[in-house]
Amino acid sequence: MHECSAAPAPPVSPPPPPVPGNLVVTVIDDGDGSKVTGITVQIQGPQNSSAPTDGSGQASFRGIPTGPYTITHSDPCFTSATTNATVQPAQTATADLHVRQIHAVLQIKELTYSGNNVVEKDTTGNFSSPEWVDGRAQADQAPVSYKRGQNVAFTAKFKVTTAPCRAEAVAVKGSATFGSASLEWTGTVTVNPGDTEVSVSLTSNNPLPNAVGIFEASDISWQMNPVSKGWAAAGATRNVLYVTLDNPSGTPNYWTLLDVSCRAAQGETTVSGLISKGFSGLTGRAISRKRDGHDLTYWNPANTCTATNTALLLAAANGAGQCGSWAEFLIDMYKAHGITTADKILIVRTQAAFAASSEGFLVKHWVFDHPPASAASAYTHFVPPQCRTGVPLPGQHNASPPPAFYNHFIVRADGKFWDPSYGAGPFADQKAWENAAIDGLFRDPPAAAPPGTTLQTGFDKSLNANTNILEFWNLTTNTKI
Amino acid sequence: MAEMQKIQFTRVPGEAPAADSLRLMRDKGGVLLVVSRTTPTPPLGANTVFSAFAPASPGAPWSVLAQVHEVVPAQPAWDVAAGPDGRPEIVYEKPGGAINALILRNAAGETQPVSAAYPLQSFSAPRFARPSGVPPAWLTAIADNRTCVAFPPAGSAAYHSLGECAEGLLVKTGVGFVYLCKTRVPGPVRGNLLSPGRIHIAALDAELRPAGPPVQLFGGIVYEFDADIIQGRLVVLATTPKGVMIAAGPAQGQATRLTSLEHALPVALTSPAIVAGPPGKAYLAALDAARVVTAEIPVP
Repeated sequence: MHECSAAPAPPVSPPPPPVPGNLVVTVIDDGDGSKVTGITVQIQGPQNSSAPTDGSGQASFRGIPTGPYTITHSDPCFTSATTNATVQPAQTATADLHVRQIHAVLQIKELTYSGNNVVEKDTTGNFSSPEWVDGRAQADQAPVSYKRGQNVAFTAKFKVTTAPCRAEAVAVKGSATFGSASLEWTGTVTVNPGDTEVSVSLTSNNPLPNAVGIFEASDISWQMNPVSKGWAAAGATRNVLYVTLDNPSGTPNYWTLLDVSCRAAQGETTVSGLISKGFSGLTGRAISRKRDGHDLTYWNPANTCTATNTALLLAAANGAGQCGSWAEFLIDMYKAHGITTADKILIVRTQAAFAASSEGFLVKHWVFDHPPASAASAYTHFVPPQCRTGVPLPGQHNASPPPAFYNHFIVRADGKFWDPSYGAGPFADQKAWENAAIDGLFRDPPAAAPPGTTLQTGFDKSLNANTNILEFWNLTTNTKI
Repeated sequence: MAEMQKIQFTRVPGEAPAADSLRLMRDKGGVLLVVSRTTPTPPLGANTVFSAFAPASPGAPWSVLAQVHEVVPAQPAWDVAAGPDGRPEIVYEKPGGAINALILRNAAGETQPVSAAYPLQSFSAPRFARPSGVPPAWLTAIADNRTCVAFPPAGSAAYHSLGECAEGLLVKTGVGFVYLCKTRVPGPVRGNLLSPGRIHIAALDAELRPAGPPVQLFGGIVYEFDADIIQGRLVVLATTPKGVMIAAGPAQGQATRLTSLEHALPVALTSPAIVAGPPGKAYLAALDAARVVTAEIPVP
């Protein structure tokens, strides 16, 4: 028998143990390129492990099985990030993990001004604080008024769009240009985890221009800088800003008064200049009410009119006012700038004549037909038919105001007469006003007048240019001028 | 105040004239409803027609009580009351352009200036003192848009100042008076120029001196108001943003302690007026889009 047997297999040596490798992860803050220390890095792969970064921003994993690894971190103070690396035997693989530290992010939300003069919305109530609110239509942001040369202060409220993982100080800055003045507001606010809004009181580093002005398109650009990491935009705000000569005195700070006067008197620094240039805002006879854009008229082109002071003019739905409205409008306009020296002047034929409701004056232009001959100091014509109205003097937003009055209000300021109802002036004296404004006098018709006569007229002013035929009364002092 | 039924305003029957404003008075025949309409008369002035109607005689036509032409085209405020002869007298603003005078016109068409003693002042919103039906003890007006003043009802005499007010009304209550005063508050107007305000009430003595502090009559906004003494009760009617407010209380003693109740209405009314109606009733009138509406309610 042939015995055969298999040769013994040579001994199989066990596979060599896997040669491990190394992985070094560097965590980089892309915000500023710095290495991030103390952040825990996790690796997942043939082996799961974690390690903190050292002072060089590196987390080292030594002697780990070779193979592909996914590298992450779970630090809530940094943006999430993932990268991959493959560890080769006896080699050190490296990987960079790019993160960004999470800082507070702020966006301007509200401004509540202080030290300002509250603006009244043309008899419907004061504009309320906060004057600027994010999301409100620009036309609905409240106008703001300050005396010239003042610093602008407010409480700025910011929305925290991203909260930090730990409390941090955030610098905020607003900057704007108002004419020749550059203003900046700087401050620091602490933002805590979980905050949804933060507020800080700020005062401008510079004052407003030292002159009357109106700034309708001056944005305050806001920036924020968390823990000195760099400035970033935080929104913009815009309030129409009225700069007055002085603080208002003795009148509500009506919006329309401010708008007309500040627009007309931009750059003025004196009372005299404000009086003169402020009035120029009325000479175009095209004033509109700010709260609704409605034309403000001297009398009512289509109907009757009852408003007799500023408040009633600004309140009236039809925007129509008598001369009392317009005289007080001008006086109140000056008061909005702290000027209280303007006087209301009442013009009458005589006190007694008005008390008896018997005589008044003819506003230009009337035509005295001839015959009969007109006279400088007598009633000569019957209306109709001997005397008739001609092309009238236009008034505020009214080409044809009433042609005759028993009395009229104008204003005396800075030693001159101003007739705001007609946007006319200044007049140096009574004579100048009479010659510019009236053509003569009227009275109730005498009993002997022809049937159908409504008035008797005379005292043709063209024959009377050097003689005053009316009386001017200062209603501040109740004295005749 | 007892719970009140819903107020039903209805338009007066027949062809009532369109109106700018309305007042009520009582004369010998009962309630008289008077309205005015002002129309410009280009190129010069405006004409105001006062028309009257007796609700107790619904078949009777409206009659023209007075016509006034003014050189200056303003719509005058006015009031009507029974004069010494029991016939209607009207007090109205005569517009001057800058300042208004007050004119009293009797049923015969004779006029006399009321405010002639104050040629540099302007007067508006004249009101005869209530109660209606008797010659008024005073008439009030607002001087220079600021102060309520009281004139004797006849002749041109000195006035008695009652204090700052936008619209005022005196009601005689026994030996003294109750003074109703509206002060303006900011807010949108009703119509063209009916300012929102708050109404206060104060007791005055026979010489119109304060006899107690003013108290707010109604917590809400009012536009216009009227008042009368009806069956020994002081009753105030005012228009409000929601409808009308009626306040009532004893006319004697603590006459400023009124209870008020607001009634919602489907339309906005102007020119509210109130007088005593048939026995046990108050007669109310107002304007609804320039047309006259009236209502009768039990005396509150």
